[in-house]
Amino acid sequence: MGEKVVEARGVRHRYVPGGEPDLDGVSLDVAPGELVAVVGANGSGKTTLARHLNALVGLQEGELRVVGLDASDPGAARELRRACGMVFQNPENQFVSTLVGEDVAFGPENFGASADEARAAVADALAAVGLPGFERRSVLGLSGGQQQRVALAGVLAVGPRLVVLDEATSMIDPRGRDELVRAVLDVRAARGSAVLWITHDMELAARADRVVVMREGSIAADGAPADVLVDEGLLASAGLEPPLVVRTWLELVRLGVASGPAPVTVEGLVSALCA
Amino acid sequence: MRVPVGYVWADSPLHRARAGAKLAGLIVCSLAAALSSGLVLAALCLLACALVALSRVGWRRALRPVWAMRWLLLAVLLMNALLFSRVDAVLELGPLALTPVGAAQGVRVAARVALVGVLGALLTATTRPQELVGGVRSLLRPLSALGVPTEAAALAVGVTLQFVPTLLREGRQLARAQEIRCGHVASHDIMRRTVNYVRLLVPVFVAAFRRADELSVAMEARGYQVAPPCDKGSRKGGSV
Repeated sequence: MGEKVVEARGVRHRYVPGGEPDLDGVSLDVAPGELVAVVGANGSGKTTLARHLNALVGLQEGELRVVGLDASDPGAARELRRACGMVFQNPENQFVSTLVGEDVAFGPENFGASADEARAAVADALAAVGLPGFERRSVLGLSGGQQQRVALAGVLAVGPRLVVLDEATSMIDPRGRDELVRAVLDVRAARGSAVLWITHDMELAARADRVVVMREGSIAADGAPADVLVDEGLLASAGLEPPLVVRTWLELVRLGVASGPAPVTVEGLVSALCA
Repeated sequence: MRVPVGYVWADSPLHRARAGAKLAGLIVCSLAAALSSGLVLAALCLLACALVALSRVGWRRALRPVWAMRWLLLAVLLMNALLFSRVDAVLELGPLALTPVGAAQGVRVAARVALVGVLGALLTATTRPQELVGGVRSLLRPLSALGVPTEAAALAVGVTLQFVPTLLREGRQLARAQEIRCGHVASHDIMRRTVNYVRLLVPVFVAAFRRADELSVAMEARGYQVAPPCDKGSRKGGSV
């Protein structure tokens, strides 16, 4: 238990007292360095789960430990926010300064870093997301992908052990999405941070170590992408559909052109077709 | 992508001046304009003209707020001219009396408002938003000794400035959407036009509140709190 970055047991939450639970007995483990994709239809509880990890939503029922910190302890909220960074959907609504350097320094300064420490943390974080030397640039002049990478740098500057991305690619173009995905994968490799990626993008989910499917506040499935993303019935019940690669493969199987387990990535599809 | 609204890229002594000094100058000139009249007010207007010429931002850009307020200024002028006094009336019409002293008062008030508008436009045209926040921070810094949360105030100014372009863009988009369905917002009679603008304001305010909510959540997630245990004095404009 102590090794996990996230340990959730029976977490239940209601925004409206006495109403239907928005999170209904969620149990989830995330190991250090693991990339977990959380998918589900709108209103399935993904964001509520993410906000529990960062203490933005108070724990009502169940047990939740993030990097060993008890989320039910209000006194631990600050340390919890240092340990778990969040990148949100709209890059424009996350910046507190028009200067990249000032914005990235916001987190370290809030956690008591001196000006020198903050400056060093900013330089490291910007380098980690592929934007070295952007300190004096204005966030207003950056592309959506670059803005989202600045938001990621703002999170990394605090040195979190868990990075949560809440639909962070849904408002940026494909190129920006690829830039952000590459930055997140590089950061994970270099820093060993665990990543919880909430997304509607099934192609992105296929690149995770694990996929968690949420349905009406509960976890409907939790497993490897190769197992979860090929289950059409399961995904349909959660208001989702398999990645294009899987749908293509299943169609080829129906036509008798292909056989065997469905690949979930383009690389896997090419390998399977060329085998 | 957002672009800084108001800033004019140029190299002038005003562009190079410190934001704090420009802000202080604006406050002093505004107070002087509010309290003065006659020759002093005329001198301030001449000073504003000289600053516009010095700033290289262009007369059109500097006078834009005056043009935007033209109906308000005209209303102020007329109301003062017709309602300020009844002594030595040139023309009387029921409760209205056109008097030289009223007209002079109208010109003074309109000049004061226009002067502050032009100086404000000069400030935003020659100062980048981040420099402006730094200026607010440096001006407020002495108040921190009295326990005033100057850092929070500077942050609030910065965030507000940052969202101005976004809200303007959203307003334009909504106006365009309204034009497609109902015709031009500024067309039709004054009542219909008022209704059209109110229709625009509601979604713009809703969007502003939504953005404010999202930003506050993002700030909280990054460890911000109004009364932090850490030394907030470590955050300085342009320190990083």
